[in-house]
Order: sequence, then structure tokens, then C-alpha cells
Amino acid sequence: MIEVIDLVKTYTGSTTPAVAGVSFTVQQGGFYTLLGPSGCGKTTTLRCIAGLERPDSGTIKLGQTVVVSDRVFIPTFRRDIGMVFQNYAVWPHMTVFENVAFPLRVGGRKLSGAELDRKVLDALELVGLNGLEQRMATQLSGGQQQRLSVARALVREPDVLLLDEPLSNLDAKLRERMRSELLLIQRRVGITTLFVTHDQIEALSMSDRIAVMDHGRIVQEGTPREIYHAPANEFVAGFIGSSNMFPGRIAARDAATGQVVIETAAGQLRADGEGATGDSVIVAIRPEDVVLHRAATASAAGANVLEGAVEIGLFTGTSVEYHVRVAGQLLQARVSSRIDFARGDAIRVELPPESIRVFSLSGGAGPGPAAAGRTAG
Amino acid sequence: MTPAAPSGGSPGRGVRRPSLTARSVAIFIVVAVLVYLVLGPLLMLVFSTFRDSGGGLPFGPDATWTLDNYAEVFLSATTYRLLGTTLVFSMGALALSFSVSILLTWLTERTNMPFRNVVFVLIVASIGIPNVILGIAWDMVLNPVNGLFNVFLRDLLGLTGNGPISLFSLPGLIFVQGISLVPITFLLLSAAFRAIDVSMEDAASAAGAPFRTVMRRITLPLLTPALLSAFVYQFVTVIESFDIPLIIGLRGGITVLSTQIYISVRPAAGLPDYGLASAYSLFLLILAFGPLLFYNRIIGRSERYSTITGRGYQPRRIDLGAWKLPSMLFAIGFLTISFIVPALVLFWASTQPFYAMPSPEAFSRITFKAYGDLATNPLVRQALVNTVILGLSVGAFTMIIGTLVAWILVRTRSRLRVVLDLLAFLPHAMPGVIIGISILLLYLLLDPILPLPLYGTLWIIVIALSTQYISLSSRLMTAAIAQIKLELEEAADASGASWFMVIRRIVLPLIRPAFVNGFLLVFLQAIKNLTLALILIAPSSVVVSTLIYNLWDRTNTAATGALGIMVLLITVVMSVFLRLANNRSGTVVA
Repeated sequence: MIEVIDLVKTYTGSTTPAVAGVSFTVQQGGFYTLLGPSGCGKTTTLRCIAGLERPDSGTIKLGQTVVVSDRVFIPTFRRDIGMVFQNYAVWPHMTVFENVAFPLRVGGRKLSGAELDRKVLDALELVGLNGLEQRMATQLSGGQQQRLSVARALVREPDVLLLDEPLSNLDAKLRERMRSELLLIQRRVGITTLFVTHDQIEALSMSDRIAVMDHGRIVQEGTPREIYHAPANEFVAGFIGSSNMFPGRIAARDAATGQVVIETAAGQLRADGEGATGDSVIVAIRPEDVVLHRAATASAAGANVLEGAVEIGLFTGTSVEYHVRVAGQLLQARVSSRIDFARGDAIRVELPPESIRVFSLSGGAGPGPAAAGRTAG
Repeated sequence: MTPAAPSGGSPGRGVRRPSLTARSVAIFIVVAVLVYLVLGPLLMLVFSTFRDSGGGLPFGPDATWTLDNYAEVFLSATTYRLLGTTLVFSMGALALSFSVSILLTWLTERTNMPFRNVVFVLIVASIGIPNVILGIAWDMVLNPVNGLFNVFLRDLLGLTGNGPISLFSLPGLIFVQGISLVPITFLLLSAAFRAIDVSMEDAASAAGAPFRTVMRRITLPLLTPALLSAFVYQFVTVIESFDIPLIIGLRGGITVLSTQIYISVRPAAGLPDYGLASAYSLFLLILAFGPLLFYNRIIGRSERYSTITGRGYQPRRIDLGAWKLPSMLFAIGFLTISFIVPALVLFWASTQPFYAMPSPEAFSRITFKAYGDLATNPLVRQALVNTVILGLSVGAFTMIIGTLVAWILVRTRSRLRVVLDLLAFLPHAMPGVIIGISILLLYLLLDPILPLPLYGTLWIIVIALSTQYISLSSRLMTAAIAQIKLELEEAADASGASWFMVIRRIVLPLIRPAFVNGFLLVFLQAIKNLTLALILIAPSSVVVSTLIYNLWDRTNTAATGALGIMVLLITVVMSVFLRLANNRSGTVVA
């Protein structure tokens, strides 16, 4: 278990804190991700947990041990952690075996030679590097160095595993494969894992829970599904997945349905949302939630069906991304690759009310489970 | 080889083949110039080792073929005593400079020592101090007769006679040479420290290793290749160093190989023995060359150490705690010895009609007449003009040749590349004294047949210095050109530019910063150089370094001090300027 309470860290020479009051808990055996753009404070948070940075204030507990508090600062080498670095940090002057054996050799408890061998080989087996023990670490490929650093982090069976963007130096194909491999290893070992990444696909596909960070704060915390489908604010909606986002103004509230009616450049839209008449808002809808109907055959009528025209279509194989002009607004729609429109085709664009998120310009959230996410600061 | 590709090689990536004629001619000319500059003197040197010049020149009418020079050098006990002294001197100076430099580097790079940035800049600034001036300044401080510190100690302890400290001893020589080596050693080591990926150390901490273990098992092994290569580099520097052994060693009767060679061609009495000097030179050349081969292997190995590097974190600085003050005192102490004391003593000497301890009477005698004398002295004016001409011509010539060499090495598949590479590397391993001697001999031979006399003019010094610094300029420019992506040149090709156009419009503008930088660096080295100027000097070719040496030799302390201060100002300011410019490109050559 990892528990972080009110963590604050300001680098010397900087006026704004890199981490401005972050609190979260990683359950035993959980896979928890800090997700955010560069400079959001996620790596600093991780380094504070590792003891590589000294926070200004806050409390950090690893398992039952308080490693950082007002009175305590346990140095990195005494923390029961395994860490994987972005550039792997494999030691170039050691063999594969020696890299993995290092944490066992420097630890307080001395192991017998046979026991050490067994543990190292087990760790290498776990990551699929068995047979390469005697290679120099630098003779490995990028992907192999990555596995080596995972083996090294796990070999002394630490309480928690800290992963600092471990996949970002791999090429796209390898990264995809390592995602599932890394998760499989984590599940097999059952180690409490904190993962730092700026890659939303890594975060969404691997995590039990995600904390989205921005400017040193957690702006939303939840399961991958909550984060994706119910972004708490404009920032999360824009950062995770792609969204059509455009401004509007609440024109009325429908007392019968509880929906708001919003004036936008695309036309009048109904959506679930809060806010008073006259409020300026941002309307967000994911491209895959936009439904396109051929104008000639469409029978669709009802809420949020608007007249539009196809500007351009980008066929990617798995889907087609159409850029559609609806009155004064350009919208993106991602639809099945079987659907085929030509440039200039007249279409009907449906924006289902339940898929629309409404954010007030002051940064508040729309309705739904997103509000349940714990936000800090 | 096809007619379309007379410069050889199979076309492929990295090969450019337009305008073959212009290019081949250019390559041929560059190789010819290098052969002339480097191989000519070397062959002359080897030739001379087999000649008994009989008090004249090795190719004179009285000279005969002989192996006596080899016998005298390689079989005599004197040589091995000389070698012993040279090695003790080198190792002592290296031990001193490396222990001081390692500590200073660690303090400035990895700890929270106060004023570490100021310390860094000041150490780097002291690169500009010419060794001849450092030697002279320490002579003024520590010579056993009227060295200020000795006089002070005698007054303090009530001693009489000379001493108590003798600078003119092996420890004295090691001390001054060691100090002179620190700035460059420091620069080489700080580059090494910065090149270490901090996450390597972080990973060891995270693996449970305490600070000492991290240093011992990770930091030190990672530093080792760089440390070794710095050591070999500086070993070559110290065995070929000449100014300080000349100024301090010879006075105490301590001869090392480089000064022995000088004595053989410029004896205080008697005739020069060129054959013997050449044989000694060959001996020294072997001593310098061996480690350099080793050096290249280390460089190869350290490249194998390179791994994927991530975003660099500022290394966390170690809190010195109670050691802050002692560390700072150590750094200040070093700067006092390397920089402040020499500058102050030169200044003091420049204000005194005759050299004396600071005292109320001495203070009343302070005068700036020496500076006025410098301004009106025609010899000084001539030396200044000559030095500027020297620096400019050596800088321009070596940089142009070096750039062409670098371009051929990086961008062509010419078969002459191997030759060119070797020729450009050779002078790096050739001690200045050897270049001086061989060029001296070569132009004594060539002078009668050259259309313009070179011997005894400034231009022979220009040629010698150009030979010496061709390695430096070609290495700098190779790095610069290798950084230009080939695609940029190919894009110009594809836009229809001729080879000449590509060079003029694409390559030259892109390498200009490196070129200017290299020019200033060579300029600085050339005007600091005493060795070559002293060996090749003639009355008309006086330069500032030889003038200072002569003024000091004639114990004209006021003039020595004044001229020393002037030179110090120029070279130190230049070296700081250069360092600031280099900080961006990360070059560590000085």
C-alpha cells in the first residue's frame, strides 16, 4: 500500500510548486497511474515517494512504514521499493546477471550464493531474459534493457514498484507489447504499483485507478472508465481521448426533462447539465459519440439532430474520421470504416444528449460519477 | 573504380559525388599540404638521427652516416636517468593535479559548496595563464634568494642565507607543473561528471545501496574511462611540457627529456648537436606515442558505455553540512595559488624599480614607469605586432586546413582518408620541442632553395605552430561537421546547387560558430606558446612569450611583471570568453 497525504514540493529557484498538495492511496496489489502532461508534477511525486527528492511537506507511507513526515525522512536506499527508470538506467559496466544481482548484494541481508543465483535467475525468467545472464547490459536491445530493469526492480521482492514512464523510449510496436507484458508480470507478482505516464492509452489500458494531474494537483481520480466517460472538467476532457469542444450559452432549462438547452455555433443542443440560464459553458462530445446519417435516407429526428456537410474524410482502416461542418462549427466524427461519404455530401449529425458533457467556464464539472472522484487542492 | 568516381569507393549513403574534378583536386591539395607540414619535418628528424653532423648541420659537408646517436641515447645510463627524472616529474605533477582536480570537480559538480559557480569560472579562467608566466611568477615568490615568501619566512624565523624553501628542486618543479595542469584536468573531469546519467546512481539508491556503495560500485566505474583518458591526455601534455622545466627545472639542475633536447640544440656553450637532439626526440616521441594509442582504445571503450539517455535531472547536490567552510577554503586556497598569487606578484614586481619585499619603503617606491617604458619600447611594439600576426595567421591557416581535412574525413570516401587521418593525428603526439627541432632542421636545409627565406623569420614559427595545432583544429571541425545532417547537404543538391555552392551556402554558414570558436582557441594557444618560438627565434621574430622570457632571464623584473600582467589580462579574458561560447557546444579542448 502507498499512502500520500498533502505532498508539497517546490524546487529551489522556482516560484510555483511542482507538487502542490497531492493526496492519494494505492491499495495493496493495485496498479495506480499518475497521468498528466509534462511538468504536471507526476514524476516529482514519484521521486518523492522513492526518496530521490525531498518534499517540503506532507506524509508518505509505504506499507506500514512512514517514510516521509514532518519528523521522518528515510533515505532512498532504506525504502522497500523497486524502481524502473524512463531510460532504464541499466549499468553499462555490469553484465545482465550483475545488474539484477546488485540489489541483493547491497541489501542488508546477505544471501548464500545459491540463493542469490536462484533469485536472479527467477527474476530474469519472469521477464523472459533467461539465457542472457552473461551478456553485457549494453549489448541488449532497448526492449531487453527495459525488461532487465524490471527484473532488477523486482528481484528483492519489494513492497512497491515505481515505474517512471518505462515505456516511452520504446518504439510503437514494442510499446504495445510491453504494456500487456508489464501488466501480466504485475498481476502475477501482485505487487503494489505506481505508474507515471503522459500516455493516456497506457494509463487507460493498464490501470486499476488513474489520477489525472495538472499544475501539481490531482484534478480527477477514478477508474479508467470514469475518467474517460465522465471527465470532471474541460482539462481532463481535452487531455484524455479527443473531444469536440466548443463554447455555448445556456438558453433555457427544460423543467420536464431537467436538461439544459444550449445555444452554440452548431445550433441548439440539449444536454444533461447544471448551470443557470445565461451561463457561458463549454460543450464537449467525443468523436466516436457523434452519429452521422445520410440526409436523403435519414429518418432520425429528435433531440440534437442537425444538418451538416462533409468537409473531408480520413480513412484509417479501423474507422473513418469525418470532419463535418454544422452551421458555424466544424465537428469531428469517428464512425465505422464501412460508412462511406464523399466530400460535400449533405448529412444529418446527431449529438446524443447523454454523450454531451457541459462544463461551466469557471472549470466546474458536469453531472455524473465524475464528481465522485477525489480531487485535491 | 569507375571513371565517374575517380576518388574511389562505392557510392552509397554518406557519399557525395558531384563536381568530382574540383573535389578531387581539393582533396589532393589538402593531403599535399599535410604531407609537407607533418611528414617533412618527421622525415628530417629521422634522417638527422643517422647523421654525425660534426658540429655543423646534419646535411652539411662534414656530416657522415652513423649510429652513434642511437648508441648515445639508447645505451647510455644518462638517458635512463633522464627518463627516470621525466617519469617522476610527470607522475608527481599528474598525481598532484588529479587529486586536486577530482576534489574540485566533485565539489563544484555534486555538492552544495557555496560560490561553486564562481569557483568554476575562476578555475576555467586560469586556463588562460601561459605556463611561462606561471613559472616566472612562482620564481618571484619562491626562489631561494629573493623569492618573497622565502624572504618572509627568513624574517619570521630569523634565518640567514638562502631558502628555506627551494623552488629549484624536483618537488618545486612538480608543484608548479601540477598547478598548471589543474584547469584542463578539471574541465575534462567536469565534462565526465556531467556525462554520467544521474539515473544510474538513482537506480542504485533505489536498489538499496547506501551513498558509499553507489560511489564505489556505480559512479567510480562509470567515471573510469573518462578518468583514464584524461590521465593519458595529460600525461602526454606533461612529458612534452617545456616552459616550466626550462624556467624552474634547469635552474636547479633538473633536466627532463624536453629540456635535454633543447640544451642539445641551444647549448649554453659549444656547438649544437643536431644528431643527438634528433635521437632524443625520437625517444620522447615513442614515450608520447605509446600512451596515445592506449588513449584511442579507451575512447573506443567509453563509447561502448553509452546507453540510452533520458531527460536529464539536475543531480541532487550533496549537503556538505559542516564541511562547507573547509571545502570553500580549499577551493579558495587553490585559486590563490594558481591565480591570485601569480597575478599579484607580477603586479608587485611591475611597480618596483628593483625587486623587493613589500615594506613601507617599497610602497613609497611604487611606480608605473614600467608600463610607460613598455609603451615606448620599440622591441615591445615589434613583439606585440609579431604576436598578433602570428596568432592571426596560425589561427586562419590551421582552421582552414583543419576544416578541409574534417570535411574530407566526414563526408567523402576518398582512399586518401586513412593517410589524412593519420597525418592530422600525428602532431598531437609530437611534443612541441620535437616539432621545433625538426622544423628548424628542415628549413636550414630548404632555405637555400626556397624562393623566399623562411629561416630566421616569423613565418617559420607560423609554420611550426600550424603543424602543432592542425590536430586540434581538425578534431574540432570533425565534430562540428559530423553534427550537420547529411540531408541538409542533400537537400541543397536536390535543389540544384553545385558542390561549390553546397559548401559555400550550406556547410560554411552552419559551421561558422565552430570555426570562429576554433580560431580563437588556436589563436590563444599560439600566443601562449613559448616552446616553438624560443627554438625558432631570430632577432627579427621576437614575440611576446619569448620577450617575457628574455626580460626575466635578464632579471628585468619590472618589465617582466608589466608585460606579464598585460598578457595575463588578454589571455585570461579570452579564455573566459571562449569558455562561455563553448558551454553551448560542450567542447572540452583547450
